[in-house]
Amino acid sequence: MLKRELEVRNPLGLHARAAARLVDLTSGFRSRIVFARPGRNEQVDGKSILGILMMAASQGARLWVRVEGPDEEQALAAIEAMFASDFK
Amino acid sequence: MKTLKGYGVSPGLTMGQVLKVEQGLPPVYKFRIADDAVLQRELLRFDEAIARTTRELRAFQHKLEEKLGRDHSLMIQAHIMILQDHHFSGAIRDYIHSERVNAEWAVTVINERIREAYQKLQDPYLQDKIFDIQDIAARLLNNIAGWQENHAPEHYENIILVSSEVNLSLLGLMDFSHLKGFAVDSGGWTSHTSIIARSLEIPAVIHLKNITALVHTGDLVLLDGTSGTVHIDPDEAMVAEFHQQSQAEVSAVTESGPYCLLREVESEPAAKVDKALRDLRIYLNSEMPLELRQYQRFGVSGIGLFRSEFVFLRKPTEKMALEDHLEVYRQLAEAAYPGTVNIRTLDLGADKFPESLGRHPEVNPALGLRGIRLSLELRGLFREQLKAIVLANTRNNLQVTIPFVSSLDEILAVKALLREVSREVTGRDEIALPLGAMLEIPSTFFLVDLLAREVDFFALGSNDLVQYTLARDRNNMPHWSPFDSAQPGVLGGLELLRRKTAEHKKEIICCGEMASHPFFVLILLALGYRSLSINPAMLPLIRYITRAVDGKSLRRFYQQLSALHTLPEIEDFFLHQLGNCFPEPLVKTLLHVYRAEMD
Repeated sequence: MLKRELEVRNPLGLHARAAARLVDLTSGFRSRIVFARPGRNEQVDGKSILGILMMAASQGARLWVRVEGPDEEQALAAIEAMFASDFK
Repeated sequence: MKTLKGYGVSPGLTMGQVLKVEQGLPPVYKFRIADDAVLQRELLRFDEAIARTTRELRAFQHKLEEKLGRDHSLMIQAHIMILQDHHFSGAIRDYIHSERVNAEWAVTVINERIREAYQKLQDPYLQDKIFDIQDIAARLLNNIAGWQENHAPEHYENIILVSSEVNLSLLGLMDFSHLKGFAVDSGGWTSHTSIIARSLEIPAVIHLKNITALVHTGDLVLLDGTSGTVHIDPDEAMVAEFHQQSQAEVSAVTESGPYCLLREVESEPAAKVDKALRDLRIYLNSEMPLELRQYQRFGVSGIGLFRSEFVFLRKPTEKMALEDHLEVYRQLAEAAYPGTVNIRTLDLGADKFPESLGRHPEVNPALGLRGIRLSLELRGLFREQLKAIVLANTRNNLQVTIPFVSSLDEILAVKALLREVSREVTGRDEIALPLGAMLEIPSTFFLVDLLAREVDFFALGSNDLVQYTLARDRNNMPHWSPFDSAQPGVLGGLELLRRKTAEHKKEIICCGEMASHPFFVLILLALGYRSLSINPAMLPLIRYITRAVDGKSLRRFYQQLSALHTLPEIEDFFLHQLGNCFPEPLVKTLLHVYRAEMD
């Protein structure tokens, strides 16, 4: 199981298009991927766009991601890259 | 330009863009599915609808991508993802399976759950997403039912709703502030569209036969609810004239609507009322909390009929909580104070309720589970409503009216429940507010003595009473006579109810459409009914009438009317012989209003 803190940096935050790209990415991995916002109890399914949107993560928001499964390393690397490139 | 002629059922001139709703936003019925094979078919039906919706969205996505590039088409990609999200379609599928319900109902329930979860977060961006999700749900519902796609309405500010008939659940979903008019294929003077349109003071034209086939969503129409005409794509001259006229319109109660000719009447002193009508009380019918202050200077005593269905239709019944009622009733009590408010408890069933509470549709819903029967069946829900009314009654101006009473047992059951609820709220063993029974089923002709011992007041539901007495559907236009309410078979019942309630010294408030009708209000007054609950738009007319008639002329009118036994005679009497009974200016006005509305 891998865990990493990430920051949403793009001005629009994790809006619909960014969330669509993120889910498009996460859905390709076999690992279980869970996001959470520090200080909030709820964890959201990283492969559910409704879940990602529910985080209401705007610019500057910090998120935890937890990845667990056979391809967890690749998955985490890809997610980090996507956050770093502002969901391009 | 094309002009259509129908019946104007709610007065006023309006212009706006058509929002065509093919069958209403799909009305959502709930069915319980007992049979396993049927359940499998339902799941298959749902999966097919998901596939079809996905195909639609993909096609839309390609179109957008060609025109605007990939960035925009990703929005649609997000929609497709939401559709396929296991928290959306997955949850819906599970719900169908575990609750054994139809797909439409499951879509509504899950959609509502997501909406609530998003609303809780109070993030403005997510609030917008709620619309996206609802848009997807609506699209999905359309595909489940196999209906044509409806075009997105949210860009229009002045909406003229065009439909074959408007159902309540659809109106429950509408934002009334954007709704400027109704144009409907079928319907009658007392159908729900007409009643609601009048009470919202939104112009409406019904019986347009095929307007749904002639217009498209987005078309400009000019609608005259007074003359009953609808102009599709009006020319420039007409639009200019419309703007001129609406400039001239003043929003004051006295000057709104088509009855401006009567406006002077409003300021006339009460002394002009004949002594036979001195004890007349005028109330208003309402769907939602209504600021009564502006009406009180015209002698309005309160809200005679508050239809509480809207409170229910805003939420799926299993989500209804005490607070949903409480907020509305508190507002109502405040807005009407010092006037009184009669809250009619849930009157759904028959043509009004799409959600059939886990039952299959009834073979004969008009004789089925509706009004108080349904409330007693849904005892928990009903109890919450009663409790909310008692709790909201801090101003001591609320009363409860029970619809569709057909037996004494129902009133006794209500009283037991009301006593229980009152004890919980006040700690005392007595019913905390006045209780009334609607008289709208012919059995009450013979029950009224017994009921009078149990209730504090009565309300006359003339629409249903006429229909049930004649066993004739008000929406059944080909066999509908506008003079049905004046038939001997109906008049006898009205006479009897008036006499019996007077013997027991109980107020009887006339709530139905008769009280707001230019001719039939004369019948009620002549029979001695002295409490009328009318549509706000009709207030100037009714006040005018009550000042222009006296005891003598009403007696003469009723004598002549009750000597007539057939519909053609009765029609001829109203259209040509009222001059024998009433002063000429009144007769002219009545005929004018009648023709404007019914021709």
